[in-house]
Amino acid sequence: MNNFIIQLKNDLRINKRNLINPIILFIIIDVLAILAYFIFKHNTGMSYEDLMTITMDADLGANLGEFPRLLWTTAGMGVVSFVGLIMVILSLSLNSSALNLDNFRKCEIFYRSQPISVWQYAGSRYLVGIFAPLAIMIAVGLFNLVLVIPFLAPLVGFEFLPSLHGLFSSIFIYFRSMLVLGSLSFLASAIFREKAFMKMLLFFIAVQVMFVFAHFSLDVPMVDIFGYLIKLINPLQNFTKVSGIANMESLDGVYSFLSMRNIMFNWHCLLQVISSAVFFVSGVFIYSRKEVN
Amino acid sequence: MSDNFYEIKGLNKYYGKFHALKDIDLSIGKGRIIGLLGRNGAGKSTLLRSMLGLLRYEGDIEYLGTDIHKLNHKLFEEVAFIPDVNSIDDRLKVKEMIEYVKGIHPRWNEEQFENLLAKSELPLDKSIKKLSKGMKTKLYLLLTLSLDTGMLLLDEPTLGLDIAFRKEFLNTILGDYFSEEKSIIISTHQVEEVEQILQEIVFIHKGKVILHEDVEKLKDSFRLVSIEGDRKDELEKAGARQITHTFGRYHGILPIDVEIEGAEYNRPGLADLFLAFTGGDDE
Repeated sequence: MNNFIIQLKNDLRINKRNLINPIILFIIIDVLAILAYFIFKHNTGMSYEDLMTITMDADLGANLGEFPRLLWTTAGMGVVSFVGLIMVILSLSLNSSALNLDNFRKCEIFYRSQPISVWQYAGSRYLVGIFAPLAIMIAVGLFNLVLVIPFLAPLVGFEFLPSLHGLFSSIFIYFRSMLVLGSLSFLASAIFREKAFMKMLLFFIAVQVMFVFAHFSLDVPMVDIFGYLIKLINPLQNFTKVSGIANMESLDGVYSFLSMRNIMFNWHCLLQVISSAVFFVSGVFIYSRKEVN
Repeated sequence: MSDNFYEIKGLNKYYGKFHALKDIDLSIGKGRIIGLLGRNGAGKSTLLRSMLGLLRYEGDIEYLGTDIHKLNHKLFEEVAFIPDVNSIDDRLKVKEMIEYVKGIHPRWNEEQFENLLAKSELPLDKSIKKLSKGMKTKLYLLLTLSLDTGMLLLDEPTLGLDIAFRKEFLNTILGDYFSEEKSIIISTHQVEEVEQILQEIVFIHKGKVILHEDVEKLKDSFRLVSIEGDRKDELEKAGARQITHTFGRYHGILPIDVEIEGAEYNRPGLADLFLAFTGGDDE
């Protein structure tokens, strides 16, 4: 266990730049957004409060009694949206070089001749690739939410629990995609020496093309690999449909959409966890059988 | 438990169709410094990497009587290794790398490390990326020699080092590390540099171990014979190996019991003997 912690610390160190750069990007975006607000306020003479009052006065068909909770829930979700997308990409990038970058950097033999099991070594890489982006997503999401409070709270009053509910619902939805995509690219990094994810994608395309040919020439039933993959990655795949959710008409509708059943406790989520575990175990197994150049 | 560190039997290694190691049988005893000598591509690095389980192979390799596959990563608690390429991770700082190896290795010897660090003059706060090739080699040596492992496998360990540190490494540092309970295998092209410290020598040629002998015994079994320029045929008739012509005289390696009248005799070096055994050509 001790060795695993040391390996983990080392892996965080070697990925320091990859992890810090997105945080800097988000800080820049936040600063620019605040700057844009003040420039807008200065140029138009209107304040954010004026704009919100106009919006709230308009007939949205919504129940305004529920509006503060609805607003804070969607605000909680909104502050993670861009961060989540970037973190999914970061996870994909970190995992697709998790096991093959050492070979590229010619330090694989150094790490593989240390007294640490390949499972601990690879597990640490996997953990960094999956959970470091998650940690950044939570931290930046919380930071963004805190940043939003001074602008929204004077208007509708701060609602603590709805905002956190929205925030963590959104984080978990992104995390589910991140887990599958990250694990898949981790497997790719065990198979391919470089450009792992791209090569795996090409492999899937090649197989798909074969199925298409087989389907049209031999009348074999069509197998839609990308369809399956997208269904597996898509965290909203098994969400129960909620009427009126598109217009955010009802708070109950939003909360049904963001229910624990939809987000966490469903077969699709279990399938995502199991397939990610299979990708991880297969990746480590393949890597452990590889020779060290 | 076996008396030998390593017992290698029937070791074969293929890279595709290329037969890199051919039926190698080798025993590595305790308290020995062994030189591994061979041309480029002879299979030295492949042999060392196979001994660490880093390559797949056919045959048996045992460390202290246990198959190295069963030992798995635990083997690296007993055997330290310096590869022939500078394979240290340059994304870290020197002190971070030291901290990593110190934390992960149960055989870390702090006192040994402090001694070596003082000799090495390594800048702890500097990024490894910014170190020269020689300094990176020094760092690798520092990390490896700070471990109290039974075996040390060195694959071209002095590449990039300046002459002064190379001398210090071979004459002092390696001597401080060595004890009767430890063994060292050194694979090198600079055989003249390590000749003085070697106790055994292994000649490897085209993937085969063609000789494994005690260095002194080997040198006592042969002589470097030197003869005037017009007497080459006498050398050939006596069965001399590796006949060369320099400064108007012919030289060759002959068994100790072969006499040629009027010839000069000298004790051969390992390089002469290696060339004599491998034929002195690339075939």
